[in-house]
Amino acid sequence: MKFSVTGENLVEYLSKVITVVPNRSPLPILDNILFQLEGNKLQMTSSDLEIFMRTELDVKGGRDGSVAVPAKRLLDITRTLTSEKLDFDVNEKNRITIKSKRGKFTLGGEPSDEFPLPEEKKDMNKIDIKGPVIKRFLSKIIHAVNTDEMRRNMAGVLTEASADQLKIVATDGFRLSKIIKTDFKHEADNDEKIVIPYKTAQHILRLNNNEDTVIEYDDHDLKISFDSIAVYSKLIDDTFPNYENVIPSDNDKILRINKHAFSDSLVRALIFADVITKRVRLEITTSSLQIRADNPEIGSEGEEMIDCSFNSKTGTEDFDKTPFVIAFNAGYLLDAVSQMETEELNVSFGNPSKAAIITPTEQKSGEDFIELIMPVRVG
Amino acid sequence: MQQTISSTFFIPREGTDFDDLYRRVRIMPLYSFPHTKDLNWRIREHTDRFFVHIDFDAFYAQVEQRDNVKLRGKPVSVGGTGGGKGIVMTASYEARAYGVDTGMSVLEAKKICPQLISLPCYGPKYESIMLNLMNALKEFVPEDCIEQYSIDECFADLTPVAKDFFEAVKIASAIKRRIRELENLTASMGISYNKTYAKLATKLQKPDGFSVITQENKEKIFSMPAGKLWGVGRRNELRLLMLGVRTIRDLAGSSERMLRQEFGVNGLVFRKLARGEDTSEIFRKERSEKSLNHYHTLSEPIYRPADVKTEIRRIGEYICRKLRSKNLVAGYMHLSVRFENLRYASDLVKLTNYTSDDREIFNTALSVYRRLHKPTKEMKGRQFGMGVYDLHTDLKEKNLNLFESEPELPYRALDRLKSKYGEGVIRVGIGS
Repeated sequence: MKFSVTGENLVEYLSKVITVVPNRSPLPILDNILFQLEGNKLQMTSSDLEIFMRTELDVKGGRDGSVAVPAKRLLDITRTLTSEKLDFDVNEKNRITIKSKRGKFTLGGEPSDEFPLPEEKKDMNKIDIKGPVIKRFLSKIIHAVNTDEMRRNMAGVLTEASADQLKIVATDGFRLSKIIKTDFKHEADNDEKIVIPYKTAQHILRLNNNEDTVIEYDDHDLKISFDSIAVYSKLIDDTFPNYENVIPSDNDKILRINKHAFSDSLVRALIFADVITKRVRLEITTSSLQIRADNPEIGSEGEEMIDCSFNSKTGTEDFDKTPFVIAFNAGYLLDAVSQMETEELNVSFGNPSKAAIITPTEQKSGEDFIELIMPVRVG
Repeated sequence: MQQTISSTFFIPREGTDFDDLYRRVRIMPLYSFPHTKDLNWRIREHTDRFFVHIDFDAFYAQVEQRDNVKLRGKPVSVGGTGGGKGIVMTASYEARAYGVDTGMSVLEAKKICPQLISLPCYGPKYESIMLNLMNALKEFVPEDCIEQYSIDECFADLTPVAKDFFEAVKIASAIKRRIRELENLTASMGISYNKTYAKLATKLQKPDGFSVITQENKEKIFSMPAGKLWGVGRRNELRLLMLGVRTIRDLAGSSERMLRQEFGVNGLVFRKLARGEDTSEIFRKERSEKSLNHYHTLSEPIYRPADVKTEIRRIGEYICRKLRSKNLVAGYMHLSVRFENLRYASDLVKLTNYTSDDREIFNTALSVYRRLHKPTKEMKGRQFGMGVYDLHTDLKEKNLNLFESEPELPYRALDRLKSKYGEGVIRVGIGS
């Protein structure tokens, strides 16, 4: 195998595929990146056996071939040689020689046939999404994905495409984040649901610079391509919980509050909240919100008062006489509040043991975004 | 005030009609010898402190002989089920004369001493006796100067109440008299200026002994074999012999470098202990627990999924009960399986909630177990263990779940039933 490439070009792509290379791998071959050269196209593939990432770049090809190159060492060398032209030459014993203007470096590679390859499938279902949309949507809901190992069915992002809308949902059982694209066109006979694993979603979020994205999938596998990168991953095949049922439709008490004042207070409350439930207690009257946090284990407490407006659609309760009291995990509340992009936000409540819904005061055009949080029950 | 019997030394066993009566007893002390961290490295030795070590003579056997006149003067062993299974936990002095020793199987013991009377172990009885002693000690010294070291041994620091050795000895003999009138039992006692020597002094005269070791007569200690020192077991004694160290005197005089090379930092601790430079204090149990563990070794190894499930559930329930009794919730749990060939499989997971809920612990444990290497007919599981970490005070708060709404169960009421009527009396039904 023989080719030449500019250092800058190589490093740009290399630093993307290397994000999949596992830190401590059970399979030593996975410490490498697979190089495959055909004509003037160089394909680089990395894998941790769950996710494969493949990228393709233009080089000046000499002799076709393939080799597995130690990923970290290669990046460390080339990172300092970005302004130079690099000549790669790999002999039949997989010795890799890199020549720069002034230097010559030799690395030991591994035989390419030991490197696992993703399965290229034909006839997969397909969803096309504009680049900025997928990036924005994932970033708004990814905080709610369940990251503990036990409940696998929630360990991913639900992507649901129907003829006229795209729904992206994440939940960990205690909160739920849902965003709908209402001006979406998709040619499909029936609704299509897939659950993209958390790690895969993170890769997409990190690497996608607003490029148009194609999601291809079948029952088990997923291929996401954008720009010149393709990510192959397994789908989560456990059933995503039936989330529509748990979104309350009869929350009648509406709190309207300044986003920054609220989130700043929550940041401070979090310092005083106890470490287990991170509980903050909200006591709401028609014009003020009191946030209280305490940690009985270490004996600290704090409280703050913010202006707000609060009223009930039924209009029968007098909140100035008996304030509405509810408790939440401050961390969850803060995550949700910081995703709102309007100056003010709405929180709607039913009763102190029902989910609260947080929405911006005004939805962006073509979008419908809600955050749902379950309260903490104080015994 | 109602005092509950600590569960430190007892592991409930179920499956028989006498669960609550015949509980298995862990004879192991809380720790085997002072940790380097327990030693005060700024001073070389205690000069004006007085520790007393109290050790009941052939404790379980003595208690049984006390309670049954017919057993007095006869070789008696306690431990095992009575039917020949199990091991001897304690042998009376009459039995010891035949060579019956702790750790022997009952069958073996009967071979060398056919007239041996083997009795089952009645845990709560022995524990309540120790508890009485601990309470009685409070009449002599402040509460935080008393340390229960194991089921039949304890230490007391007499420094706050004694000016000199003369007074310390006077108090100690008063304690000895008190034990006799309280429980009609004999205990051996050792008094010295550090805990190690006090413990060694007890061994100088047994049974019903009373030994005092001061700076002046510590020669008596020096001539004891090194294996008598706490922390030096049979294996370490052999290793010491290979180094040419036979007595405590040899150990005290040996080079730091050699011991460090052979035993690491513990070697240095051994040397200090032998030299009388044990500067550890009365061991106070840390107020906040960092973890709780429970391991259970089965007499009959198991491999059937149903048996394993039962075992895991039993351990889980025990851990949860312990958590609740201390008013704690846990954030992580750890499950381990040890196989017949001593191979080991284990995993640690974060729990979804901080919890002390039987069902949640059990379900998590099962899903951890599914990921582990499983016992087979050829390679059965011998020991199952569970540990919980990241413990916090239970604030009785719970983040409600969107998809599950499990009713709160009256666990505390169930716990009270269990401690009154035995472990098997009631349990929570967990769906299959």
